[in-house]
Amino acid sequence: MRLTLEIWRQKGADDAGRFVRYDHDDVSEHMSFLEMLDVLNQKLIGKGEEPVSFDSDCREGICGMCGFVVNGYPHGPQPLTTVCQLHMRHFHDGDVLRLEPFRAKAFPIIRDLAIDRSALDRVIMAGGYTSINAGGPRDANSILVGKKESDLSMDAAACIGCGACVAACPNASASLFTGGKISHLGLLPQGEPERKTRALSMVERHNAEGFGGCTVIGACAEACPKGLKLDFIARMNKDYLAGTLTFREEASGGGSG
Amino acid sequence: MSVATASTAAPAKVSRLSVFWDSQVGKKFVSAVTGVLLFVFVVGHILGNLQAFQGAAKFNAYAQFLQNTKGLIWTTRIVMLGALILHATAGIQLYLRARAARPQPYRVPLANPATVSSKTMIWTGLLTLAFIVYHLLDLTLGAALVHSGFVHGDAYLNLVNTFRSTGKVLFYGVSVIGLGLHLSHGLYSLWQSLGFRHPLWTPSITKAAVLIGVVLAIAYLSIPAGVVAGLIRL
Repeated sequence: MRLTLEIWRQKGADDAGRFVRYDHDDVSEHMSFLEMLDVLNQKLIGKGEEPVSFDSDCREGICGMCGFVVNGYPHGPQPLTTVCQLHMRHFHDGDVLRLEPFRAKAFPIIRDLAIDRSALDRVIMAGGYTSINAGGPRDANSILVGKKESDLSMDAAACIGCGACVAACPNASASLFTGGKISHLGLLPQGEPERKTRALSMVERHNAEGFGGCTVIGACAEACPKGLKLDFIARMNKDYLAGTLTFREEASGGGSG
Repeated sequence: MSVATASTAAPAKVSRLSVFWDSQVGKKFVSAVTGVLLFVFVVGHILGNLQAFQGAAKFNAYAQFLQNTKGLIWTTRIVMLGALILHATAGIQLYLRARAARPQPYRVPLANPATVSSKTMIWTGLLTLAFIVYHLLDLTLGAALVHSGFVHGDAYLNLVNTFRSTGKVLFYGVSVIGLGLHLSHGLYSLWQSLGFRHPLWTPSITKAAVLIGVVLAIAYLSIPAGVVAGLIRL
């Protein structure tokens, strides 16, 4: 199949950037989107031109490294699919595809379609963990978790941190990501002790990184390749409110321990 | 010896209230609570004003009752002013923050499936704010600038006079449709901001919000329409 690609080319953060048009005439319907770009890049290298930079790693849809916007859809128009797992059979001969990077202040452009998503890592560092005592292994069933809670937690844990929610959000908010991480840990007994302080510190980090706020538009959940739902943002809000109402600087001097 | 714990603690020595207000979650909470107060007023206001269809005597008696019940009217005014200031400030700040969060716009517009009402909250909100100012000048204060021939104490006459002007009918009409749109998203979204979302209730809340928005817009439109159609006349 033949495609016309209009790809955002930008040399770095300071460059203005522009769309450059490429006619790509040897695209196989069996290729993934990224393989299609690999073939384009080989041709560009052969011609002595600069290849198109884009993020990728596992190419199995599980690492969260890839992602750009195809014709206005983060990760392309196929639902529940990362762009590395999007296959060219979903497109048609003669299609014009415009590729843009995920755009947000918190995601500076490194080059072309490649962006820096470390802001999401810093949100995780602010509280996306549980503090547990290391030691001898526990009996597997010593902490009971209900099936529904465990399933819901796993739904939240499906987030791969690709940033498509930020890309799709008219407010460039990472609330679905942050809510997903807060829910995934907070729904389980192991995450319960730090549930409220986690919400406080992760939401604060989220804001400090320059993401916008959630206004319940719902574009994030539509774009999410892992199907996270707005329920997790409600849970983030609830935990944040509870954390604000019950916050203590310090419980006491630490008792006799 | 105390057990070393990883610090998930939020920054100390700051007022929790200011941290709360500074965060987007806190602003949305304030927005939701004040939005509920404003919504209650919007419902009460139309229920009272629909008495215009019952004639001048009834309507003016209602207006007189409100004027005479100082406690009620001033409590309402003060609470509404406070709620409005907080609601508008939170909304405008969230909008500015969202704009700052994406300094470089998409060159190809996002193909997102969101509802019109959710994406236009700031505009329907600002329209409502402008409308409130105008409406107060027009029919509460009777400022000569916007309402010539205003008679203090004859609310019915003033109402009919206002809707004899085509321009005012159009502005009032567009404004209450904007308010209806604003409510059809706000009445759903406020639950999310308060942290409540549930598969049993949220689908019904979403539909109810749209229904209430439409019903209120129609109810508010009925008054200028009633004047135009001659059902409310001197």
